[in-house]
Amino acid sequence: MENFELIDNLFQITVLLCACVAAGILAIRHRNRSLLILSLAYACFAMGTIYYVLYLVIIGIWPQVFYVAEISWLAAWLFYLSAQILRTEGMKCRFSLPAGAAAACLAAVAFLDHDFGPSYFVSALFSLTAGAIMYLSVSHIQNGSLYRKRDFFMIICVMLQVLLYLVSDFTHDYTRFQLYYAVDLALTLSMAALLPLTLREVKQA
Amino acid sequence: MTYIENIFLCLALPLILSMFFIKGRVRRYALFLTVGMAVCLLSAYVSSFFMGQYGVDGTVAAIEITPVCEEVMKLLPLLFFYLIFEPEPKEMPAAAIAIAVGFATFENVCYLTENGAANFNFLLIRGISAGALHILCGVLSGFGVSYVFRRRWLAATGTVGILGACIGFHAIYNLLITADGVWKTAGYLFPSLLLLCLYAAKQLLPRQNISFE
Repeated sequence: MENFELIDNLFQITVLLCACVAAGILAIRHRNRSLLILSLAYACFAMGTIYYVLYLVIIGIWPQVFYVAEISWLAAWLFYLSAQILRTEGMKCRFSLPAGAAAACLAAVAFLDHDFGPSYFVSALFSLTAGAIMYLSVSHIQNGSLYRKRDFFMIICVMLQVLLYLVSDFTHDYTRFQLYYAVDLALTLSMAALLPLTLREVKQA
Repeated sequence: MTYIENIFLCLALPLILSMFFIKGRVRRYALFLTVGMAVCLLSAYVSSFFMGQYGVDGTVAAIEITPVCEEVMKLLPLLFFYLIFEPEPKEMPAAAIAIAVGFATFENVCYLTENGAANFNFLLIRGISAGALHILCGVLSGFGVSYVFRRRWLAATGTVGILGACIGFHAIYNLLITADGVWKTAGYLFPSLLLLCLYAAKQLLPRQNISFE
């Protein structure tokens, strides 16, 4: 593995594991399920990256058969979706056309670009998850939710994830700093930013 | 050749017979223990099928195929219990842990028949770490399904998420123990350390009366 790839992945693992521990402690302190789910999401994303890095370091190539790292990352996105679903409990839900259109566009791009590996099944699952996160986040913003910043960051996170795979199609040299790493670093920091935003929501609730 | 089905019968039959004479929680524990062993046997078949399908060796299978098959197979009886019998939330973690213990026990027995039982120190470390890994996955599945993700859509996304988390965790363990040197040591140590942390948390949290409702 080349230098910058290692730095980028280690940065992601460190930030997300710290965020996971912090979210876990805060979940227990505030007895809050959203923070606990966020902690699980951070743990899953970090585990996916840890597996990917370890595989490259120990075996020398990236996983070839079952895409375990992608399954772990997908689990993280399912937990983000769970956190968004949790926020809709008790809210009156009507179909929103702009939210539906945004979700359909994002899901189509993610699926056609084969995000999360060549497997159609995993790509379809991620596309559905990303689309659902987009739909719920846009709906919350439209419905005048009090905590729009968190929805806004959730949209940024899911768009950065899809953008990361789009950029990777055009990236061939992973040895030095590239747009790919800028997007990945932005994704890591955006995911970490969800913690203070969720905490603020929990404190104000 | 390992006659894995014969070994399973030898281990499971006394447990099954005991169920005619015991009641309540002990009976349920014995049942889930046996189910865990059966699931281990079935997941060995499924892993072998995918090994042949993709034409990979044992090492690649252990780090890429086995964690996926084993975790999916372990979750199925738990989901069956949850959806069909609709147990109280407090009953789920015990069931998940019993399945995990049965699975780990049968896996250890199979390991012994293939590799011998001469090296006491190694088997002690392996027994603890493999047991800790499966129990941690069981705790995550049991508590997650019953307490954190209980309602409608949350149950669907949460359950699949938990499955993914267990697969990732299991795969990291398998990857580390198939390597050499410091990676192997780390692989054997980290599930036990995490289980220790979980036990410490379990001792501390009830005093604070924590719930995530």
